[in-house]
Amino acid sequence: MAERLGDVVDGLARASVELLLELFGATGAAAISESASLPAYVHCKSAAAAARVRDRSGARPADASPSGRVRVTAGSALLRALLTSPDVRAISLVERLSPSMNFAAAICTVPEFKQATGLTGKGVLIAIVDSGVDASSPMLEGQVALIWDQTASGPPSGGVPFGKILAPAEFGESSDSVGHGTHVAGIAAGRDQVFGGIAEGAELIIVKSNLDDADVEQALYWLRSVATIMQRPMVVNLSMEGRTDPHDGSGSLCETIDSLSGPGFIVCCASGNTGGEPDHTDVELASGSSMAIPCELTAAANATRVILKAWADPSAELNLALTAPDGQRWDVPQRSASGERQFVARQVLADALVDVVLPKAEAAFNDAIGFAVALQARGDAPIDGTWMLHVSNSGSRPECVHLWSSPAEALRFRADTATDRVKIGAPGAAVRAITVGALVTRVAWLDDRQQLRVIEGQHRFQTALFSSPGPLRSGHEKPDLVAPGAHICSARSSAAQVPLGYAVSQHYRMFGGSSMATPFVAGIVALMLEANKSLTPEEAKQRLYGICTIPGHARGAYDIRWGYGLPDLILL
Amino acid sequence: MNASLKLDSNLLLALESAGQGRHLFDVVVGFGNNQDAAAVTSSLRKTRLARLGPRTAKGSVTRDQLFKIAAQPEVKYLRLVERLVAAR
Repeated sequence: MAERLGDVVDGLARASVELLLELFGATGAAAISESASLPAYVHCKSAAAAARVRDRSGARPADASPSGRVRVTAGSALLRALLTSPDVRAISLVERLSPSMNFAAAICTVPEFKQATGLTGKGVLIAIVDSGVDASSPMLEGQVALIWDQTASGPPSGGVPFGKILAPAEFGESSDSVGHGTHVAGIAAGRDQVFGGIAEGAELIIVKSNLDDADVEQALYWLRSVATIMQRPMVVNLSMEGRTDPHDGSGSLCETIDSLSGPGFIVCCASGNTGGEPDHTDVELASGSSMAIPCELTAAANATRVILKAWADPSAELNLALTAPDGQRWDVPQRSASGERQFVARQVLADALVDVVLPKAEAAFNDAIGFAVALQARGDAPIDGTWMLHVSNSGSRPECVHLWSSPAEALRFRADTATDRVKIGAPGAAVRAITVGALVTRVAWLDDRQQLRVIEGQHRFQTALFSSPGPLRSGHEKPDLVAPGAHICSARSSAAQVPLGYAVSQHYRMFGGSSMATPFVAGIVALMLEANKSLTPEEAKQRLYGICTIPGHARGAYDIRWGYGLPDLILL
Repeated sequence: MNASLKLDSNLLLALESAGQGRHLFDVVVGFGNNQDAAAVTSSLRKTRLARLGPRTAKGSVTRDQLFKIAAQPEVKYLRLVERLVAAR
């Protein structure tokens, strides 16, 4: 029977992180087969102890050093036994030297591909629209060509409508107090012997944004002009997500991405991190049928206003009603008391003020379609209890209604109603974007206090539970692929606070999310653009699909979490 | 077309919630084409709408300005600006 992590807990402190991962994997279950052997150093407490370990492991005399270290090649059973031996001070794996790449890059054969091709992203621009950058990070020094700080106050400069364009000598005027953008930039193009990014030869263009979607759109137009003026291919990284768009790629940010994308200009987007959250449901309604959708509001989230955003076919004939936790029901009228058509109906119920935006079948543009329900607390106390949303289909054909809640932690669909699919909103829903989900590749590390940090509930080489699944509401396949995203060590911004356990050293930190998977692929796209400066998004996708696989599936298979799978670059 | 038909549900909810008081709404305005966008944006100077893309403009506008913009036949939609979040 497989031994579990907890069975040898007394010996854990003696094992290196890499050894722990090899022996126990992400879940604590045995990760390697009993017959497999690992090269390891056993650090013993004395020369006599080393001699005993050497005999026990069958090592040669030459494998023992005077300092009490014994080099062994041992199976997992022996290594686990040695972990609890009184002779042993510590065990670490013999490091397989990889001159320039970390583990995440290695599993996609990035080092082999770069060695074989000589590609580094040279001549390519990687644009990062994010929280800013710490351009003085050792990983990024000299990498950043230009910053548009959209958040800078004062009169605009540099030809942009707001904020400031900063040249290298002015980078000190802009910082990254969140740390997200710096980390993302490091993954895409950072230079480092161990945790280096994918395309270290590329130059970075940074847009520091507050992430208002209109400002992100503005950034995209500007970036397109920068790429044109500099006559350089560009890949844009958008490690962000929205929740209130139609989830079908028809929102204006998605349309902008699609319209700007083309030869030599490719946008990579995060799938988002709402996987596993009960914040979405979709219901099929036959003609003449109705359904009650339980919406659970928790006071613990302390929300005084929650919103349900819904999308259906524009021609759907839907009627809505709401039942409060006290049983009071309100059938939402399509017309006011005077008989006039109304667009928003308002009702005061016992626990909340309710506004309902009614479906507008004749709205011409997707941004105007959809209905919504807002619950506003009548006092300071947060809204609580189970509300029922009744949706009935009075049309002559079946209809599908999708609902998303916001904030997700305050309003949850009941487990038997929530559906964990169609979670990718803007910008990841843009059809021409390369949308990236997160794969788990590291679940433990030593932080800067040399404390072992272990992420529970995530499994190595599986998609991260939080990685938002597709497809789009239109049925379009998303995400396109997955890449290492949890957890990744990369550049740390000196201006950002780092949660306990996530700092690895003064210049490095851990982060997890589809945010981290996206620059990994943006870096790959930069390598592809170096080889073919006029590569289109569609060509890039087809080439990536051709080297991706989902474990246990034939190449070309698609899954709502994996997309087309994990790329193996050496096949490119 | 009724102007309210051009407003997305987030904007309608924001209008309802804000009431009649003076409040600025951050909006994106959608047009059918570049010419319409240019013409309307320049004709409504007081609203300080700024061009965003070929068929869009954005700005912070009052309720009155918002409905004045929506009443223009060249305007196809208005939507509330959404703040995205980092996908971490």
